[in-house]
Amino acid sequence: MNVRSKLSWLGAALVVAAAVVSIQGQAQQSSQALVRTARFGGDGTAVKGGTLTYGLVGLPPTFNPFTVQSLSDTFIQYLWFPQLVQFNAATGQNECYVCTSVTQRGLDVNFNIRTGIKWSDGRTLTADDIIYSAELHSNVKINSRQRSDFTQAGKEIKWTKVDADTVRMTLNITDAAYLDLADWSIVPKHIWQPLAERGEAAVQGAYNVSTDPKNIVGAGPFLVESYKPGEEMTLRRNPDYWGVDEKGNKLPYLDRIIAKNFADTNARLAGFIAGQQDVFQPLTIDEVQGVRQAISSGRLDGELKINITQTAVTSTIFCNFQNKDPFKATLCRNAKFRRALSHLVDRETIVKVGLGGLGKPLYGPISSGNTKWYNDSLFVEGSSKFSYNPTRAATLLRELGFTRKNANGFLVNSKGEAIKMNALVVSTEALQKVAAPIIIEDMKKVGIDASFTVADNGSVINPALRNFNPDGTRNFDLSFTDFGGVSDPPTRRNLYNLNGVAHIWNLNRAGQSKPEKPESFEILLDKLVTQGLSTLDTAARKQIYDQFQKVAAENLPLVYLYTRGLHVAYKNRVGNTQDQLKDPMGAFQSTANGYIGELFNFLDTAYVKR
Amino acid sequence: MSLLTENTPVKALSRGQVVRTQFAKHGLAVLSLWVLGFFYALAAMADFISPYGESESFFRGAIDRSYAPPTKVHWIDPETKNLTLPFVYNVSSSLNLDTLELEYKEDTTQRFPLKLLTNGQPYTPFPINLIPVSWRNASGFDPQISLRLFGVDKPATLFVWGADKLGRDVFSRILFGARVTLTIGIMAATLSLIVGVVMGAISGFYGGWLDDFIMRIVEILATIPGLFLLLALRALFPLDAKSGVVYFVVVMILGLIRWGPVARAVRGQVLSLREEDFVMAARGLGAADARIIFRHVLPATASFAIVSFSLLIPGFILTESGLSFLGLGISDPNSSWGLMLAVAQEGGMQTFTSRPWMLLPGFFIFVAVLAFNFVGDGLRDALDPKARR
Repeated sequence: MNVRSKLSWLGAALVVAAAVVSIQGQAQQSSQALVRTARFGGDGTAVKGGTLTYGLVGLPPTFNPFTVQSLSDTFIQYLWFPQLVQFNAATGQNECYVCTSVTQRGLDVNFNIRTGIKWSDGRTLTADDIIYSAELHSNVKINSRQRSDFTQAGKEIKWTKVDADTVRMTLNITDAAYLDLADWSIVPKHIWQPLAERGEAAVQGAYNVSTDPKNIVGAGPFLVESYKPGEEMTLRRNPDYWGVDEKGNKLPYLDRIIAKNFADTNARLAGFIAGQQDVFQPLTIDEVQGVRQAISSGRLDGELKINITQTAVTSTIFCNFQNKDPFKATLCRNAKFRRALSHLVDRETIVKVGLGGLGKPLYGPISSGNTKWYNDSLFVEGSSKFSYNPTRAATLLRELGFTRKNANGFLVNSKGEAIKMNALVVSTEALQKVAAPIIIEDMKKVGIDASFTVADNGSVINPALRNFNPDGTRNFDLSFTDFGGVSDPPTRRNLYNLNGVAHIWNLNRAGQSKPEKPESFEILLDKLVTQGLSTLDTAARKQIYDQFQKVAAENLPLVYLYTRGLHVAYKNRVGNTQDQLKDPMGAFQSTANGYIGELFNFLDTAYVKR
Repeated sequence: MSLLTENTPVKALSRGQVVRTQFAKHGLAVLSLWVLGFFYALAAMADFISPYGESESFFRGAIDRSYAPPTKVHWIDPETKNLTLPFVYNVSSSLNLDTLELEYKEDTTQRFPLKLLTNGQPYTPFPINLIPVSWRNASGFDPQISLRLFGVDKPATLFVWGADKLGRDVFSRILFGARVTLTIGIMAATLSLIVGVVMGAISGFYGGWLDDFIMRIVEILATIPGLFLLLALRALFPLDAKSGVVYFVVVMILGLIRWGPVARAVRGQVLSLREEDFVMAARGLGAADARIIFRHVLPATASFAIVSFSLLIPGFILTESGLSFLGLGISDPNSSWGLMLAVAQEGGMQTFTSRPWMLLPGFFIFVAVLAFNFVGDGLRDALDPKARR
């Protein structure tokens, strides 16, 4: 798609900021086919036919777009359920998919709908389908995973039909990333309305994996062909798909996609090396080494791309501001202590030992892979960057009053209080298990009575992080936590907002809109992320997010540790997957969207040589 | 006057002597007993025998040994080609861009002789280290020595069986890991066995409502999903509880709920045993129930009990590796064979292709489990009058 994007300010009023964004697809023919241009593999030279195989650990547990839970399973569903806008990994933006253009006037966003899209049962996709899908997704009782797309500033976002070819989204406040709110899957009303009339349970119970694939009505490039529990899922080409390449050839090129199930990640790696899969994303250094060695020894005719960019996941360690021990809570709330903690993190060594060097130290809230917003020049040693330096950490602790050591060799203040802290480590996070002993050892060396506990996330760590004592305190001291990220806005919407569910170092209790005692820098961060989202001018937003990064890096609500590299491997016989990887920003966003998203964005133009 | 005078040589052997001689005839069992004894001795003397401490790591700074292969010990002088005192070279690592792995190369400029009875990290010697640390701290009695059986001077390192990710000596960690693996699991198996045998005997001997009651308990215990019970149990511990303590308590609780199958089998045997003539005779002579159960009935179930014991042990040893995944087992920086194997498994294929020494704990688990089985086999034969040789 040749994307031209116009962005213009209309008026400078603070309350009602109005903007017009128009994204126009090229093909404005009567059938309005979606054209994939050469940039995305649509140059018409691809081999047609063929089967692409990839590996999963656990097949998707459902075909139902309202009960699907994980991001990667949602992405698989986008192959047969269309969306109004689709994320384009190559440009790093949401672009029109079912819509042909978007116009924004004030808080109203109009989507023009592509004509000529047919459901697999022969009916036409209409504006009614879209409005009805929005209704189902936003239904509290159905509780779709994408329900959060339908509320803004605590109020419901309204979706209305304007005419046969136009639907309208009415926002409550301006939102720079409003196209994010239109990426949910569209379902056929004529199938789902009869279900919904029987009740929410009927909606939730429909389209499970034992449903006959013939009865699953979709409109994407692929349709479900078969599902063998525990074995594999096969998708077949949708002959009525409404996408074409530049030369007018019908897409997709592939006849079939097979998702093969593997017992664990080791088996999946072995399967890729044995040639059972066409694409593979190595996640750990061990997997990278395994693939690399198979390719260099000639066992595998493929390509491995290492460190394309850094992933959106930011790894952190943080200190509980609401510790039940007031002495520890005061320490955690003191920026000097958190900076001392940061000085005790040997990031280079952790990246070297834990990631085999395939990752980057992190000092701020935005992953260095997010080149759109990440600003390395903001991090200045001593004021907004506190790199490994135990001597400096000791100095900071001395300034906090920890001037002498007790009989056990731990630092104590004038009252004889030592800093005894335990850090929580998730038992399934291999990297945390490497980082924890390294950091804890350095904490001990400087005189902190530190230890760590490796425990199950669901039964031990998550309850410990989230459960309040009656007096509003929580029981843990420190916790290693990895936060998934997004590209725009550059941080998760619920992480730095005072009322965010992930504002975990200083959490608000149920029914409260903010934590009991927010620090001033937390209020500032909350203000900055809100401003960043409601400002539309890119340069102004950049400034806001620069300030946001600086404030977070200076105050370290989370002590940022590192971010991992992103790697992809594929067999040489696979074509047109590379394009999306030419742009690191696109690859980065793909990681933010979950692992499958990256490979799936262009499956309609991918091909397999025979 | 008796036919036997004091001088008549009598070859009357006590039961213990019979069992011992019978056991001695089972070659594999005797060998296994020696192997186990050797393992326990190694575990007890781990601090002295291992060149490095349990969590002594080399992964940053001047000495960087992440996944260093086993250190080559040289016996031949490279210049004179004569036999010489053993020595090692320092190694340096570089990244191989073809494999993306660190490659270690010897630096042959300086030799580091292998030293016997050298100094290393200080430790509390056995058996004083059996006393809990807090008691030792409280009493002020905590002698530390740093004598080790062998080692080399830094910056050279001596990893007989290679190093792990954090550059810790696998050989040392196997010795320290034996302390956990060879004791706690066995205590739990013993607990399971004792409870199972006693409950089974009472159930079978008395019958009636007591039998019903105990058997229903067994059934209820069988319905408890072990994994969820363990997760619930972990939530009861304070967050900063020591992994060793958590593991000990968890395994003991597992021992207390896993006695069902043993009790069932023993009950079945006792049901038939209690009708045997020798039990009738004891009863006729007026022996108390407890005496009948413990002196007459239970010994007859010994062969079964020993077999089930030797089968319970491997189960508990293997449980340990599963528990460490849930954060209920031993966790770093402490070591156990199960944990080491779990870490090796996390590495997947790379463990097999690039660092096979990480799998050594598996070999030790295998040998230990086999040895326990052979010892159980030998004991059963020795205790069973019908299997006398």
